[in-house]
Amino acid sequence: MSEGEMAIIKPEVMKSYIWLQTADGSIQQVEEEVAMFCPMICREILQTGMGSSKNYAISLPQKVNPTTLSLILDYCRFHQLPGRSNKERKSFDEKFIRIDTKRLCELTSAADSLQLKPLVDLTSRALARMIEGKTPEEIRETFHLPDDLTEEEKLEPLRNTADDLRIRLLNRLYARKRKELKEKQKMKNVEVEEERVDDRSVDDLLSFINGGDGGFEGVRAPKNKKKNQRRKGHSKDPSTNDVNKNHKEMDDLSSACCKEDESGNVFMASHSKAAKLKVAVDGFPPKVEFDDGDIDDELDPAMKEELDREVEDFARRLNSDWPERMQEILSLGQDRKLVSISMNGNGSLRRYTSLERR
Amino acid sequence: MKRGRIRKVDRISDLPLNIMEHILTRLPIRDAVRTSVLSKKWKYKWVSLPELVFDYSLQDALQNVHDKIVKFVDRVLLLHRGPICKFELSDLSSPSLSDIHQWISFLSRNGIKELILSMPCSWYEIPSCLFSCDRLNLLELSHCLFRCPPKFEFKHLKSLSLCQVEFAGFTFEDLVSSCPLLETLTLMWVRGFTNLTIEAPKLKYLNLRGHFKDVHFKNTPLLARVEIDLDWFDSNVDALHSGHGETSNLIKILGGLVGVEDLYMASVGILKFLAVGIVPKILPNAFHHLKFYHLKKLRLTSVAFHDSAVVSVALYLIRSAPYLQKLEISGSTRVDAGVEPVKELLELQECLGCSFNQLQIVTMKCSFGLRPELEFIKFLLSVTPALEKMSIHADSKDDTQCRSKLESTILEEVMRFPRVSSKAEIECFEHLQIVEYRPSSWM
Repeated sequence: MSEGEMAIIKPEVMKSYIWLQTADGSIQQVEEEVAMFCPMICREILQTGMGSSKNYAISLPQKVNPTTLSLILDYCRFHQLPGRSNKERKSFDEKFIRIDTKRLCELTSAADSLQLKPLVDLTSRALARMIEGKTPEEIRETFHLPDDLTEEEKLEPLRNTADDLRIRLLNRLYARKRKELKEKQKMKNVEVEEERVDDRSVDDLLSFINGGDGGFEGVRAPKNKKKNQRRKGHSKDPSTNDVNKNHKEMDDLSSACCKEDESGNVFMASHSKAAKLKVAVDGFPPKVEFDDGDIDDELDPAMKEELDREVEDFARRLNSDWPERMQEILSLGQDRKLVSISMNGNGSLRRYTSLERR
Repeated sequence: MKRGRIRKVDRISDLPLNIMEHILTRLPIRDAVRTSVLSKKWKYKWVSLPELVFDYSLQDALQNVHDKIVKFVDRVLLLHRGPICKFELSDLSSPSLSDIHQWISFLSRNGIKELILSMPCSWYEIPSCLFSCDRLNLLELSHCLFRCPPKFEFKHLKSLSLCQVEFAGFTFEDLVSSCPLLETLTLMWVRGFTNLTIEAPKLKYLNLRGHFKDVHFKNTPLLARVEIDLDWFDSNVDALHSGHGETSNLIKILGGLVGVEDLYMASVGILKFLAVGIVPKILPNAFHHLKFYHLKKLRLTSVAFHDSAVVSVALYLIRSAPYLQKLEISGSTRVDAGVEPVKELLELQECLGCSFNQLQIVTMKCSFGLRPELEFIKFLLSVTPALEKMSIHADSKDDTQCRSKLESTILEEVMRFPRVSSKAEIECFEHLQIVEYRPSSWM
């Protein structure tokens, strides 16, 4: 039924509608002025001319599902009318955000993808209010967060002074290295994995770390960096990096690496993963001595995981404290395996193995 | 990370970083840092926040123990990753001079753009590393000694606010000239100079409060909003500045403000200061060349209606602004003031056909029932053909019983004043007396 067939054209028919398609394929139509309130939709209409009919519906970003879309459109419908007073708008907003946390999060992320800034502000504020002043248990309850940090980790950032922590963690680092070296020696056919050499300068890396949006452009391996090579009993200052014969120092950490998965999580590789990674075997055992190395072998997996996490965190900190040293270190020596640890914007760790330069 | 059932899914941890930043920025800093214990994914969400605000909320949480607060700030800075765009320390009494030095020196290496240091209980000297923060956009300092190096420049500084700051070793003009893009300037109770010459080509907003003897607007073409509160009146000023109307303070100062759109002048001092050198009866009709064509909003406080010089200055200002739309006047008239001087002045105005054609909204704040003020209200009602609303806010001083009778008769009288505008509405409100704060320790 086309409009031309109608004998009398009523004013309502002349009202224009925009057609929107959500990621699941369903198509909705909505009044033009309501849709135009969303900057992203507005731009689409003006730049590409889409949306004027069902066949040319504007595809909305994936985060926008139909229920969320109808919420957003309600919001737009209310606020796009210029005649509303500030008081009315405020009271609408207060009622609008009284939804469960699941929908609130979905709404926030959908509003963000549609670039609807006022709604993003409103929902962020609501979420912040839910977090403010609550205990961690209450917050976990509200948002269904897993309680997966150990007691030690929870207290760590704000409790210990830096010195104690470093010493303790360095010891653990050595313990882990020794343990994993032993394992590697059991492996027979290992090949060296080729990784691309990363030529980015330190500045690039830093700006990448700082400006990262949680996603990597590609899977690039940053240059390997020397890890702390301190021995216990020597100087306590980690910055006096003793770059010497410990070739295999970082093999353990390399073997513990994994490529980032989609959620950006770092997993301290279980031993099975270590087996998958390929590292050259060198018959050289590290000469470091420490006490807790042996103790660690007897720990159960849970404790091991905990230690792994601590060490990883420590390694991250050391690494990002030494950007200028990285260059220095990289230019030194040849028979070294280095591991790079970099952090993306979300704070999770990423590690890569790389061949040392020969 | 999911729990067993589909219903209880964690949706918040995977929100994109920019939304996380929105949320965490709206939390007090301690709550934001504590999110690191929620779960694995949350451990490092807060470390890249670009804005760090350490304010009174921290004081509450850490019970204002010196060590705890300083340690907290130290640790936050140590664990933080990435550039810090905004850093604020306000209402904390704990940090010592050396702590502040260290923090500013750290920030200067991290691209700080907005720095706010406002600690009323401490007094410190600004460290020189502040001057190497060359990306600064906004600087707000209070209760400190500002000692500038001989040559420095804040190339990007747009907003500067100094409150109870003492200048040493350089002049205010030096400071302003080293901030070429300055748009907003707030000076409150600064020490070290009393004569101001403002030469700021991009300045749009100026807020001046304190003891200044002279203010000269040399080059401020874009200045649109001005707030002046000069709490000073030297009785010797007559001897210093007396002269003919040509060189009166009024002309000298306001001459530089002709482009202003919103003018706020507070305190007894400023109007008396401006009134020096003026012959009250002549003034409002003279100097027609000084016109404020852009002035849309005028606020005057502490207008002493018993002093005809002050009233004539006020009238002059209103008359010189042909497009004035909003007027707000607060009176501070002596209780025993006689009504004759003002009445005479106003009658003269009416005879000369004075009319404020664009004035739409008038707000009068006065003590209830004083005759000179009531005369002024009557006058305004008779010369404002476009008036839409006149709000009268009256202070109630004492609570004697007979007051209420007095009130209602005065109220009736006001309602009966003849109004030239047919759509004018008069509203009367009664308020408890408000006492304005002046920092006593500074004087």
